[in-house]
Amino acid sequence: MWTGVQWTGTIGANQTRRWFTWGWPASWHVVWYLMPTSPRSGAPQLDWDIAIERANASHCTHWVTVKNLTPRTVTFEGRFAVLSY
Amino acid sequence: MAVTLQRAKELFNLVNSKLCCPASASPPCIPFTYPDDGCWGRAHEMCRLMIAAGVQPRKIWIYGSLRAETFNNPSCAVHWGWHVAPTLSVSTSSGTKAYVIDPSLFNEPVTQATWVSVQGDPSATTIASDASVYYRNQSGTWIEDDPTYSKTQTVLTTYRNRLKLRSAGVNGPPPYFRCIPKPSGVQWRGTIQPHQFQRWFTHSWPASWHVFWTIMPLTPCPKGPQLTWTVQVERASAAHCTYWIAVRNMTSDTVKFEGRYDILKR
Repeated sequence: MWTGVQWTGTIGANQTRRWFTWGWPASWHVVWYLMPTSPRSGAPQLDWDIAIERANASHCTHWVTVKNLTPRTVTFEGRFAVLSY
Repeated sequence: MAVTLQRAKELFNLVNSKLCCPASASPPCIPFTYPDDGCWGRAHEMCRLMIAAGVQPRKIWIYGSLRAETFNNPSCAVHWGWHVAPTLSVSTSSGTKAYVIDPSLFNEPVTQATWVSVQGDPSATTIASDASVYYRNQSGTWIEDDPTYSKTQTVLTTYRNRLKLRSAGVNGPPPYFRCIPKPSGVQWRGTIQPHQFQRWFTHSWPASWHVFWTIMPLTPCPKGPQLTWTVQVERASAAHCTYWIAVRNMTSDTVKFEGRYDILKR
């Protein structure tokens, strides 16, 4: 297994935005998760959903929808782990 | 003029990005997942796209008693009397080689020898031609061109429709599960209808294991996200649990998929 940061993002207060990342081998087992980089204690800041597109026989595109649960802008890292390949 | 292998891969990806979503197969897509027939239309359209991208492809024609394995036909193979695909001249360390661009058979450019080898007839005859040749018979006594691509469009329409018909039939859209070996880490394969939300469960997993579930579409459709999913868990007994995985099809096309697991800790 290995992990990485695919992108860094910024999302406005109470906003929902979607990012995509393409060209991933479809045979890999990849999971996605976020980590806020702007600290704010007391409540969760981000929620996210994953959707997936089979772009062709060998590759896929991962779509990550991020929701800012707070009334302030949040910066974050879009992280991944390749569990199996 | 020769291109690098990297450029050939880019051009392969360019034409492959036009592949049809099987159930809707809307123009101007190319029905690569209907490999049964129509190769001359696909080849001419691929040449058009590559010429527009600034390169000069050629074509390779093969004649024989051909049989190619594929997971895009319910019987897992197609039989042809002939086949055609574009080629690109690629610079390699050992000189210039023709690489074939054929997404109906491969996921990347391949050498002509590799392309011939998967078609099951060692005594097949191959003939190279200019890209402008739209159709030719084996002897070369009948040759057609299609400079306006009108015949090409007719062929593509025919085989888009055949792909749609097959996808609406009892076997659903490609690929066909029986043709694809199930790798480790795949718990099940399923089919989900347009805009459907469906839940599956899998029981008797040791509750002490840390198991992560993901979904991967098998039906290609390069138009946007296809599937999303949620995982819920039931503690069925002191030692075991049941995972409930709900999958949502976000598209208006039927999608085949596989449910994957990874055991992060036992």
